[in-house]
Amino acid sequence: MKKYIILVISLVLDGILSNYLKYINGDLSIFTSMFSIISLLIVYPLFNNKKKYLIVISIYGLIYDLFYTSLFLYNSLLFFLIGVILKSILKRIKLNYNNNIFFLIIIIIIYETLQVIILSFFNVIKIDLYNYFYKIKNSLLINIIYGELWWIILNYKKMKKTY
Amino acid sequence: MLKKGKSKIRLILFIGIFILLFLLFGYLIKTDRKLSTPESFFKDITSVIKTVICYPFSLFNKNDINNQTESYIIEKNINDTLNKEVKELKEQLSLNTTLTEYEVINATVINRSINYWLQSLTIDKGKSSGIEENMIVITTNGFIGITQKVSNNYSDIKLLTTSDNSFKIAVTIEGDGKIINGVLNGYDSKEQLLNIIGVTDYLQIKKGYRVVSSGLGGVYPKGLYIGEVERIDTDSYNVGQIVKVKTMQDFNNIHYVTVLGRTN
Repeated sequence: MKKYIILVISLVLDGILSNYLKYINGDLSIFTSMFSIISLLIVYPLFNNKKKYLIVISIYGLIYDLFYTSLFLYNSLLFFLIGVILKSILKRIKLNYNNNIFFLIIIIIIYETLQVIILSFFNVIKIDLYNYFYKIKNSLLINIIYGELWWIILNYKKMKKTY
Repeated sequence: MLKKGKSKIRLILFIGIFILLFLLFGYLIKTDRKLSTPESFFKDITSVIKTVICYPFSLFNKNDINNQTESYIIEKNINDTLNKEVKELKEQLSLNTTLTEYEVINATVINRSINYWLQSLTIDKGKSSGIEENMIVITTNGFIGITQKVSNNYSDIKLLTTSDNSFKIAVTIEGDGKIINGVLNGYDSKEQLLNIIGVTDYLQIKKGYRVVSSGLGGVYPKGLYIGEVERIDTDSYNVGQIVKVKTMQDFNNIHYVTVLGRTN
């Protein structure tokens, strides 16, 4: 149940914040939220069955598309791809408080890189490197804080025992 | 031997799925495609839910809304007067249509797209209000974009700030009695200026010249204000000029828009 609550909260927060923060090309807020994408990493350890995880995040991507992008199935496929990449990386590495930040950055980079590759390949928009790094730079701060906050909330008991 | 065969099948299957996935992406990412009936249906439902969720937060913008509503009433009156004038002139000149003809549909922005690269807004009017794809969208500060992905009750607006390769609009640069034609294409995100291409090298353009839609091609009305010339660069081949245009619109602060549809 916890995992679904996190996914819903992230989705709703993304929608609310997107209406208040700067969003224009080259004039982004440094608090640009990508909570729905970050939540793919947050909920990963909460799924014992990783096949179910991939199905859930694909449906989540579809809902994300329906609500926010008008690009039906696009993010569903992207989320699935990110899920597969995360699954293959996290097979070998266990998430903890410190490497969580690293993976939060990685997931943002993976999402933006996949988008840029697809949009450039199909000649939909002109993407320059400056804009690519600018988008990543402005997405890092708030999303790392959000991801870390969830990590602390979910692992509060474990952390209490350790310290 | 059997293992080798299996791994070959797996590899072929993987490549097949990969190609299929990539082609699917190519279709889905097209910004100018029309929405299918199920897509239109779901867009309408989710837009209603989104409006309800965001309603309490929209109350924070109440002051802005009052100001803009007032300006819209003024704008509507001006449009009525212009329409009367155009009608009279048409009668005198025996014209059937003019390039400045359009019908006006006012709408409220209910959502911004989360996708940074595609730069779009959602408005609360759709096919049922007479909106179709590729209609001009303006605010009191001029031309801001065109409609795309129209469902029954909602539409998306592709903003001028997009770097969409297919987004090209015929424009006229006016100043010192000169009229110069060009094509609006692309947005410089570093300087936050619009780009006009297709302007020949020998034409002298100065800072402050007005940029309006030319009406050429018959898709968009003529004379819609876009912005003013800020700077002139030469292109990478040194054969043409790239005119950088500054708009009056604060694209981060759009609450109300007017959609212009051709009347004929």
